[in-house]
Formats: sequence, C-alpha cells, structure tokens
Amino acid sequence: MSISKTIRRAAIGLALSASALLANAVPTTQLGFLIDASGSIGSSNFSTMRSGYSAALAALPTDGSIEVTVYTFASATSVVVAPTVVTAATLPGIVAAINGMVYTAGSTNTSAGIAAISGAMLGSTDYSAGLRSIINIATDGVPNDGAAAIAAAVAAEAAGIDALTAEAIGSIDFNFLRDIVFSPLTGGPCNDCGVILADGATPPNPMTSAPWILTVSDFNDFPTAINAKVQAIIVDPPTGVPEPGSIALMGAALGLLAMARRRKS
Amino acid sequence: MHGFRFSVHLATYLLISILPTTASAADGPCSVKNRGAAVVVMVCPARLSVEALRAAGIQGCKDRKVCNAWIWDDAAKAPAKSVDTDQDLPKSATGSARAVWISEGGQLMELQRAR
Repeated sequence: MSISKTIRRAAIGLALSASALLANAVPTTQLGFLIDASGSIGSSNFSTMRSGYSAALAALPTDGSIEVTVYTFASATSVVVAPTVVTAATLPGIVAAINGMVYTAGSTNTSAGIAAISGAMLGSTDYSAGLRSIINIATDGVPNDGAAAIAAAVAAEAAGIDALTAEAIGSIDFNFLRDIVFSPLTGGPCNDCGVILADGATPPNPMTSAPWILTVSDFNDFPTAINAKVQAIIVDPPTGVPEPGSIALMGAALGLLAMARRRKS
Repeated sequence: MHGFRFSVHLATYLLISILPTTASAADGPCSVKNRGAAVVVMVCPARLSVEALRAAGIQGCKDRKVCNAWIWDDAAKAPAKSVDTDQDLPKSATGSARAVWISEGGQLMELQRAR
C-alpha cells in the first residue's frame, strides 16, 4: 500500500471520527411539554392529545441534541418523562411513557405546572445557560388563578427558560395565554404580547420569533399542530459551534488529505 | 468592681438590643438579604428540605401576594442589590439560585442544579 493511500485512509477515518463525535453532541435544546389533563379536557380528547404527542416525539432526532421533559397538570402536576436526552436507546422509553400517561381530571392549576416543569428542566444535569430551553403548554381552559400563572411564567423566564409557547385548544378564551408566553425576542412575559396563530398555521421557531399561541379549533387537529410545533423547533437548530476536539480532528483530517493530494501531484 | 458590673450590664444591654434585630433578619435557618417591590432575595443553608425552603419563601414574602422569593444557598452568589422585578435579576445570579417561592400561586420552583 502506497504512503498516499495510507494517509488518505487515515484522513477518512479521522473525518468519520469527527462526524461521530458531532452526532453524539451534548444537547443543544431542552423541550418541555406541559399537558393539560384537567376535567374540561375529557378522557377521549386526552387520548387524542396522547396520540399526537406520541407521534410527534417519536419523530425527534436521536442524535443526542434534544432533551425532553413531559409533565401533565390538573389540580396537581405529574411527571410523565423526567428530563431525558433523546437517543436511539431512550426514545422507545419516552414514547412508551407518553402512551402510558394518565388522564387525571381536576382543576387547572397552570402555575403549578409551569413551576414544576421549569424546575425540572433547569435542574437537569444537561442544563446550561447556552442551552435553548423551550416549554410548550397545551390547554383548553383558563387557569384557576391567571395572576399566579403569570407569576410562575415570569419566574421561569428569569430563572433561565428561554421561551414558552402555547396551544389553545377548542373555544378557549386565550387572552390569558397572551400574557404568559414569552420568547428571547420579547424577554419576559408581557401584557398581551403573544401573537395568535390561526388553526393550521405553520408555527415559527419560538427562539427567533415573537412568542405565539397556536389556536387549535378541534382536538382532532391537535396531533398535526403539535407535530408542526416540534418540527418548527428541531428543523431550525441553532448555529452549532463545533467543540474544540471536533475542530482539531477535522483539521487533522483536512491536513492529511492535503498532504496526500500534494504527494500525488 | 463597679466598672466590671457596668461592663456586664452594658454587654447584656447590647446583647438584648441586638438579638431581636438578628432574629427578625433570620427567620428560621434562612435570612433575607434584600427586598424589592416584588422580589425578595434570601439565603438559606445548603441541602435544606423542600418543606423548609417553602416555609422560608412564605416567611420571606410575608403577606405579600405579588412576591417571588428567590433563594440561594450561597450568599456570595445572591444579588447584593435589591431589585423590584424578576427580570431585573442578573442572569449570572439566577443561574445559581436554589429555588423560587411564587407567592401568587403558592408554588415552590426548585432550581437545584445537579452538581
């Protein structure tokens, strides 16, 4: 085997190692799903929501770039999925947990839900200030205490959650949601700054848009809506900054390729 | 001898004068570092239970409904200046907070980072 061939093989090997390293990157995004399981939802509609979440989360990338947290809320909150990095190994368990989530019924303690899921995400071992931390809330009713929900959203934003968006399902008076949603564009929750998106609209990435509420006129439309929301986040990933180790590997590979080419000519 | 008695009385008086102030500043194991319009900054010992943090938050906000009590377990990391709203808290400080008591909803948001 000639020297140039050896060098070329080594370069390809190094390049593959570099891409493998990038594929197993640390999470860049935390996705939190807060699901209304209160009495007004009803078990049949909750089942439709469950199917929607199951399908949407099953389509998440398994390269380790996403961490998922899922909570339900009614009178109290329940953990469905504690903060878990999505990989090929963990995804089946995440989907199984979604399929097994229980409809509780009860009142709409939105503030407890926001406080619980925010605390879980911010307390995760994967959390860092540079991470995109996004909470999505799906609800069909006004909270027990609107001011409390705003206070919880304000605290969540100040503590490090980057964006909170919402799906307003059915004939809900969604004005309160306009007060609790937020995004990096507007900073903390502000009075009426949430943008209302029409049913069926393609939601923009919440990290780069004004905070929004996606209206979902019917529970049957929810699976499509939640999938569109998840896709809006994952197909528009942040501009990745390769880790120093990966840069060094890629540099070495490129250098070896250049050497091989020079020898050939 | 008179001089000694005077010193003892003076010391006792000073202790009595100081103690109530200390007790009001430190409710239970926690203390209020500063207080703004809607934000209270508190410092609690590390590894305090959730119940104790909740009690500290309630105590920190007292009867104020529009109040978020931010709790740190490292006094050096808690903001030195009082702020009026949560948004005014520096991100560098909120990243190391232990918990937030949200008085309005009666919720404790635990923020303990895994270390």
